[in-house]
Amino acid sequence: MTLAQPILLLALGLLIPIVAAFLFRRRSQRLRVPSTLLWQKVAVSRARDRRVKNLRRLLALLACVVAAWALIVAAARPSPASSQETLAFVVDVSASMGRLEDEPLGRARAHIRDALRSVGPGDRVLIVAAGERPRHLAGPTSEAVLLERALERLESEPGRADRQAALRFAESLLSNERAIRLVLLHDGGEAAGASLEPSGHLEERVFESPIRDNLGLTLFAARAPEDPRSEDEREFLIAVASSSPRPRRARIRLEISGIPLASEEIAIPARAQAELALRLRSDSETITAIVEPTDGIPDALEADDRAQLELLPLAPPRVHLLRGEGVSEAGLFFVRNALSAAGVREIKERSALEPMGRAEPGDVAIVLGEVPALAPPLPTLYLGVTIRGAEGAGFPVSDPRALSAIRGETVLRSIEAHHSLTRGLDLDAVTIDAAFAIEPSSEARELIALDGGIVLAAGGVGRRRWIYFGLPPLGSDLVLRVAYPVFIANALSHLAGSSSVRLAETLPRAEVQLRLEPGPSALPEAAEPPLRLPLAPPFLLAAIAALLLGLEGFAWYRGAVR
Amino acid sequence: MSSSAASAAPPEAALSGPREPASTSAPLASAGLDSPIDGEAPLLSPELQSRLARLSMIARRLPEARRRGRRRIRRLGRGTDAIDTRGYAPGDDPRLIAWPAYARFERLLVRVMADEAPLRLALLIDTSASMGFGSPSKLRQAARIAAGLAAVAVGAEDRIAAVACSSEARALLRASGGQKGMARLLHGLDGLRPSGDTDLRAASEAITAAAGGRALCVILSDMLDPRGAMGGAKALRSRGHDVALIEILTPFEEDPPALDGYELEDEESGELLELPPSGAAEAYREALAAHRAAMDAQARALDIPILRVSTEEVFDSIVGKALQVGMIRAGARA
Repeated sequence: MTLAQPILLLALGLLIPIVAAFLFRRRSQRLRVPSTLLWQKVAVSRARDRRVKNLRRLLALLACVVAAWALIVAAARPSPASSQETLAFVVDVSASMGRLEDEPLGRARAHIRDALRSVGPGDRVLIVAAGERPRHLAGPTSEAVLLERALERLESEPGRADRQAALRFAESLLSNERAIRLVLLHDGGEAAGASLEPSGHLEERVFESPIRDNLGLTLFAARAPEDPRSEDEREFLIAVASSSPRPRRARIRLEISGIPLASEEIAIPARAQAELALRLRSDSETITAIVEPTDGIPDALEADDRAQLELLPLAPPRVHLLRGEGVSEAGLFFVRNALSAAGVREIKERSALEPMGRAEPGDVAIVLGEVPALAPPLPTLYLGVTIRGAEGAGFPVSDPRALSAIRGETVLRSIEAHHSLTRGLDLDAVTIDAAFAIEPSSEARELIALDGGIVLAAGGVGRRRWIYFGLPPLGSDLVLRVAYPVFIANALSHLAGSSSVRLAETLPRAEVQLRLEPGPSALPEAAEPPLRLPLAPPFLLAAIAALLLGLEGFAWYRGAVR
Repeated sequence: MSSSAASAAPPEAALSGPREPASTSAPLASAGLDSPIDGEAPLLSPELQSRLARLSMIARRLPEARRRGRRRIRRLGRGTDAIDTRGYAPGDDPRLIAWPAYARFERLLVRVMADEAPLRLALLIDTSASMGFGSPSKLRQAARIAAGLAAVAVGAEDRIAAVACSSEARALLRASGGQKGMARLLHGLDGLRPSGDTDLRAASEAITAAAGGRALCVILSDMLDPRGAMGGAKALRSRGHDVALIEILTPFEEDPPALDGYELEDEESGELLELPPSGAAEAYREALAAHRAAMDAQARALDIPILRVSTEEVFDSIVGKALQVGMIRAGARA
């Protein structure tokens, strides 16, 4: 305990006259009477007997002395002893920490508040949130207001926690501090990143969730079905994981603005995941999936019971036009026109030799010319592309070779006319000056073959979906025909169709299943804060003094103490 | 009473100091009843006893007699001569209700019959610690009055029982067999000592058992019973006894000096009171007046006479008051 104004303690000398006044005050003259029955209405105080009266006076003296002492010490503004150390709290904010006060995050917040009441005036505190990325909330500071605001901003995130990264981040913020105490607050759940190593100043405090049974959504997605019966029909994919050691039953509801759309019962095996696919017609932009246990077992986490899906209308994708070497402006002109005719509004042009910029989900790349063997990280249409240098492992096609023998005479060997890519594409009477053929891998689909090789093939899944078309823009007169923008539109639809799958934000499966870190922790456990005062010490002492003086005044008024 | 003298003296002296004798009434002075107060003097001299024998007790509601005496008394329930009527009170024999009178006046009246019967006199003497105050003490004064009443009763060949009672001690005294019995009674009254707390209700139970039938019960006490001054009287009255009260207080209690700021300690309970810095005596007098007024109201309702005496009051004054309130009469009834 330290005092801001210790000089005021000299006022404790006032206690001497208080005690003296009690001890040496003028005593009333005492008289024994036959009966006090009629005097009772006259008396200002009554006591059952002398011992009771002496006890009351002693208590009154004690209350007066304690009240005076408390007032004087409160005026001196006491505070807990300062150790001049910096206390850093790294708080796990993974989804499994929950949101409510009785869940691990709420208890961690209460622990920090208790600790803040016990720190001295010279102590500094740092608060870092450990999510997928570390987040600096406050400090190192001794300002209670800033720290309280930081605690209010402490909320769980829909993901896992990388505690090691957060600890490193906290240590980097503490590089200028001398005495450090680093406390990691978490729920014992599985974390991302490397496991923690003990260090001299690192402690941990584990707030385990009181309920270990949990059900939660781990996937909520929608996509256009392969064979839609109407334009607004979609296929919803839902996955529910369970942490329970016993099989569970749950109901999955789909809602649009609170109005039920569909409801389905699902059985989830013990500590596993179950999936459900529903085909529904909906032109709404927002659909909510809710999972509710129907077996009466309580649920640990609330954050994973609901997921919201934004169903954006299918718009033409944004196109990244990547120019390799040997691409003429005339060729680009035809490609731009075809893209414009296919409804593309945004075209990002850059050299294929530069690193790929930021791409959003749903974007498509079109590559032209001679390029390095590096595939862009998004669905790509290769138009007459050749590879410069050694072939890379990630490049979807290998060894495009020129078909010089076809000059002057076009020989179409085969075409898969019913494929969505070749729909409307007519190569009859097309004059081809230059073409490149590829040898597609076994999983790729060969769509058009000319004499000498395959010029149209498609393959890959998801963001690695690709189309190779061996006719460069200026290699034929196809660009002058209607079939060219049709083909470009087909290609965009084919490539962007994979990204039309919409995914809702759900928790990782490890968080839903409340997986614990394997093995016991090697870190020492952080102790409870030493002092839990409901008020700051000066206010607490002043309140005690006021209470005692109030009680004494009341007792005096009622005649209990005279 | 000498209230002015009490006010002038210090409070401690007022509690036990000697007092000037009260003035005597002229008619009784000639009877030799105006002996000065002396705490150590015998309770009753033979001469005084013989003079008191000329008086007789008056019982307003006469109890049933078991044997004939030489006294003609007014009683309810037996005899043939109706000499009076009075209002019905709880405890009265319903057979004595005068129904013709009820038909005329629509009030319940009972017939008072004249008969010759002995009187049972039951004396209840409060011996609680508070009775030890005064000079002479309230208990000594109570014993003296009890002896005088016994002398009156013996002279009329009435039957006498006395109970000395407090929360700690209880003694039963009887005066049967004429002068010998009277001597025994006087000896017993002379040896009474104050102790314990006042409990008049418990004392009334004892006197009921001792009386052996309906009796004239005379309660001698300071009436400062925390459980209620009239509790004992009510209990006795509800059993059909005739009751009379003699309240004995010291001059200090009747007219206390200025005790502002004093701390008072109750002799019986040990309770401590602190008095206000001013106006304590005045407030006490008001409380005493209210206490007595409440007693009077209840006594009127129960048809009980109250005789208020001081410890320093001489016997003739007390007899005069007893005559005045109708507790005794001069001369035996023929």
